[in-house]
Amino acid sequence: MLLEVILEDDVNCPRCEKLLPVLRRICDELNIPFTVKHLGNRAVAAYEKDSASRTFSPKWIGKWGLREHKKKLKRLSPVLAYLQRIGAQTFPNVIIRWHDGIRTKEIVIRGFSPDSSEARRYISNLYVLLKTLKRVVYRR
Amino acid sequence: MVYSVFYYASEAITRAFIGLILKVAERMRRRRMVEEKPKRKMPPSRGFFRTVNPAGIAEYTWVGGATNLKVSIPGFIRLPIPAHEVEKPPTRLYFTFAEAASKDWFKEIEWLAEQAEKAAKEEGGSGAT
Repeated sequence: MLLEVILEDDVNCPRCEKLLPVLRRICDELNIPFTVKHLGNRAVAAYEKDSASRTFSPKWIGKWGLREHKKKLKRLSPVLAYLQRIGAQTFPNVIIRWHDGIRTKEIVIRGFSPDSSEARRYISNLYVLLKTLKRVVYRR
Repeated sequence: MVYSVFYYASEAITRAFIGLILKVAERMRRRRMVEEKPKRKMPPSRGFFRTVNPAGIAEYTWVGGATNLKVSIPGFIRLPIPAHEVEKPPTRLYFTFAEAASKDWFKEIEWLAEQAEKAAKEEGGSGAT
């Protein structure tokens, strides 16, 4: 596929729920294939090396985490605490993937805040980027 | 003077043997004018590959040669198959929501893409990006 958009989301993520219809509308309008990947507990998202590198809290891992989580908890707990403090988001991830004739390239955008003032600009930036990429990829 | 067949045969063998020794000696003495370019190992295009599917589950993918078959086997059990690792992942540029929502996002993309291309050129040597 020359150009496609993938949304990695979680079923329990309210931000994903707000982003999904907007992104779907943009892709329908530009006629770009759009896929939604519902990632569960064990899945590896775009920016991760394994499922144990999620931004969960140390407390959560202690109670509910997988064996892989618990194994790495001791080393990663300060990082996890920091990520919790700054409010780093795990989902949604928007992956824009295209092939420029030589190699596959991807842009991964992490997070979305529907209530912030920047949400509108984010959507318009995405629209402009996809429109430009479509023109570049399909030479139209 | 008449020579026997054995005389001619032994002379031919001796000539061949000495000629070979001289040739080898000359070849060893010859200076190399052009350094040979080290051959780059081509990445494997067929056989078993160890991959991870979009759901995050490890799997083995068989890519056939003549048959063009592609079969995926879920890697629930560690199979005793010597599998290739996928070598070149796609070039990825990472952004956060705040970066993507900023005015200068497109400039950032350009800059990052340039950096990625440079890095790929340095890594690849002859510049295949």
